[in-house]
Parts: sequence; structure tokens; C-alpha cells
Amino acid sequence: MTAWAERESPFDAEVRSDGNEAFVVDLDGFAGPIDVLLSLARSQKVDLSRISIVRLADQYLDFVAAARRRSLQVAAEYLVTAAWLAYLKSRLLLPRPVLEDDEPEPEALAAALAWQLQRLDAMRRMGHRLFARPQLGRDTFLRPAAKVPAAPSVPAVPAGACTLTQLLAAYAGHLKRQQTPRLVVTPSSLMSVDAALARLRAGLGAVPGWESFLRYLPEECLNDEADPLTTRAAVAATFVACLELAREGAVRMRQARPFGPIFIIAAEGGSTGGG
Amino acid sequence: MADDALRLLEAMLFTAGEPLNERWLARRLPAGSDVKRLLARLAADYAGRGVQLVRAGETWAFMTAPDLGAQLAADRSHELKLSRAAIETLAIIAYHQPVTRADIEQIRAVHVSKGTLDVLFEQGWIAPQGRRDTPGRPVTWGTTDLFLRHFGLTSLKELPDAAELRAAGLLDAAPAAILGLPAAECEGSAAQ
Repeated sequence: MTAWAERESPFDAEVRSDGNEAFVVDLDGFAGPIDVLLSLARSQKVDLSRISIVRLADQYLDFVAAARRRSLQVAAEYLVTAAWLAYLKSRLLLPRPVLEDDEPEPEALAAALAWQLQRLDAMRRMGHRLFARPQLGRDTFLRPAAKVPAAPSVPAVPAGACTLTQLLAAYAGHLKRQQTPRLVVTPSSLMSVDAALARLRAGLGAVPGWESFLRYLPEECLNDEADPLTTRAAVAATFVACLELAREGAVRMRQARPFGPIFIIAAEGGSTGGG
Repeated sequence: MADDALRLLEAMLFTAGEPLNERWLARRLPAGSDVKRLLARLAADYAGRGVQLVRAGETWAFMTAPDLGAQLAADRSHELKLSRAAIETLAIIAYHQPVTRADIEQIRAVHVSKGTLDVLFEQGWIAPQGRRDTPGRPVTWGTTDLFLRHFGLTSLKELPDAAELRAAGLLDAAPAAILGLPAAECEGSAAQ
């Protein structure tokens, strides 16, 4: 039950490690703001139903301030709770202005907070009590199943051998295993723009004069049995490659009319991208 | 005649080696046997012995007496160590059942990780009880007979301090949560 060790106050560490400035407010040990509040409330040493919420708010604000002074990272939720408690405290202490219709009474809020702390505290204590009880497999033991071969009315493996719970767990585990995504990247057989660029650069000098850019497609795309998808991809890649070369100034492009054939020619001046 | 039924009952429980359901037993006893009465009588016969007949919910089993545990268990090293969150969550499910995950989060004022419920589920201590008729139809959780048996409880009424907590109103349906999760996440759980 060491994991259950209760702390009197979150400042315990500070007392113990007196003189050591390094790390005294231990936020890591807490599950959340309510955990801190519960520890602080217990340090008031009164019945949780009679704690002073105003004092609790002060304690909590001190705690968060101390944590921030040590330049610990304080999670946003701790700060939200701090802001809320500061607000609640002011509402409890200051003379009351006229309440808005839907604004809850501060006393009601304080009571609800105390109740919430009490309830969590009760559940913690009960969890502790449960695990302090004799436990099966530790303090009490069942008989191992006996083999009763010749007793049809008493099966050696009773009907409940596999409970619904086990069945569901097994099924869930099976589903989970099946859902493990497996990423398979199939290499593409389609022509890439890079490949088209390389092909164009290599072929440009060989053809003098204007020529349809389709001439530069790979041979296998030009015959009739070519896979239409492969051909389309090759056309698209080659066209993009032409545009790229035109941008570099390596070729000039010309299209006489909309949807007409597109012609390219190696630019004069020899500024071809790479021959 | 009643003695025969009693002896058969004893033999069935002896050979089973795991908890048996009352209905399962009743089907195998001679017609007209009052299984509950017979079980109670058998349990009374074994009271105070080293082996006892123990009820947990609707199941019965012979178990060793709890006070002998220390002398019987040679090795306690494989005892299950549960996290604080799991212990708290188990207590909340036991005392507030049926509860949704949102209810548990509201009481603990922190998010309940799926792993916490998984651990308890894999132990066979908790099981889904159905769905609540609120938006989203969330699954509700409750404890199992195995939970009762594990902690040596005959029924949920035997949970420590259950009556006191109920009288103190600590098991009532919650008012709106004050701290912790954003209110929107808790809305579905406000109604019990």
C-alpha cells in the first residue's frame, strides 16, 4: 500500500528538504487540482464537511504561487482552478452586489466544492478499504478444478468456463489485432516529372526545328497497345517538364490555337539546361 | 432425500474448482430441491472450518478461510499492483454503479484513461451493464460476482461503509461538477 501513502500537505516535501532549494513543491505527485485541494483540505484537520473554503482557496493560491516561484511548469488546469477559487473567495468575502438571475449563490458553490471533495475522499478511502480486505489468490484460495471423468452431470469444465466477459475481451483483442494498419507502398510504374525532364534534356539537341512535344514520349507510349493510364501519365509528366524547361529558358513552346498541338524547340543561344 | 440433494450439491461444488451459479446448480439437483436453502445449510455446516462455502452475488464456491491466508500463501510476489487511479476507479464503480465513464471522470475530476478501465475489465471485476438513455447512449459499468468474490463480499450491500456513505448523501447523483473537466464534458453524466 505504499502507492497509497497519503500526504498531509503538498508542502511536506519542503519541510523535509529544508535548505535545498532545488525542488520542493512536488506537482508531479498530484493527479490534478482536486487532488491538491483534497490534500490541503485534509491539512485543515477538521471534518471535510466543515472545512473553510476561504482558507482552502488561500492555501491553494499559495501552493500554486509557490510552484510558479520555483519556475515549475504549472499546467493550465491548475491556473484555471486558481482563478476560479480566487473568484469564489472574493464572492464569499465581499459585500454582495445584486445577483444576476442565473448566477449561483457563492455559498452554494462553496458547499458543492466541499461536497465534491468529500465524495472523492470517501471513494479513495473505500478503495483503500477494499484492498485491505482478504483477497482471492492472496488470502483466500479456490480449489483447483478436479477431473471427474465419469460424471456426465458434473462436467469437469463447467458451463461457465468461458465467461461472457472473457469472450468479449478475446473478441475485442482479435478486432484490435486486425485493425493494425499496414502501410504498403507499391512503387509507381508511371513516369515522373523528373524522368521526363531527364529524357527531354537528353533528346532536345537531336531534333532541329519545331516538333510536337509528344515526339519526346517514350517509345512504349506511342504504340497502340500502350496502357492508356501510362500514356496519360507520360504526357502529363512530359508537358510539365516542357513548362519547366521553358521557365529555365532551355526551350520555347508554341501552340497555334486552343487545343491544338503543342510544339517545342530548343532555345537558341545554347542555354539548354544540361545538354 | 434432502440429504441426497445436499450431498450432491456438496460434491458438485467440491469438484467444480470455480464458482458455480445458483441456477446452474438448481438445474442439476433433484426436482423440487430448494437450492437456496440447501446452499445456506451447507454453508452453515462449513462455517468456522478451514474450508468454507462462500457466496458472491449469485455464485457459490468452496474457499479457504481468509484468516489462514498468511500460512497458506508462500509467495506473495505476484500480487497485482494497481495504480491509484485504478483503485479509485474501482471504488467509484463499486459504490456508484451503474456509472458511465463520464460519471467516473466527474467524481475524480480528471480524465479516466482507457487503460484504467481495461485493467479492471481484464481482471474480470467490472463489466458493461448496458447503456444509459441519455444523448450518446453511453455504456454503463458495474462490478461482477468475481469482484465480490475477490474481495470476500457476499453482495454489494456488504461494501464497506455503504450504508453510511449513502446516508451522508455521498452516493447521490451529482450536482454539476465544480472542478476539473470542462462542464460540457460532464453534462451527459449529471442525470442518474
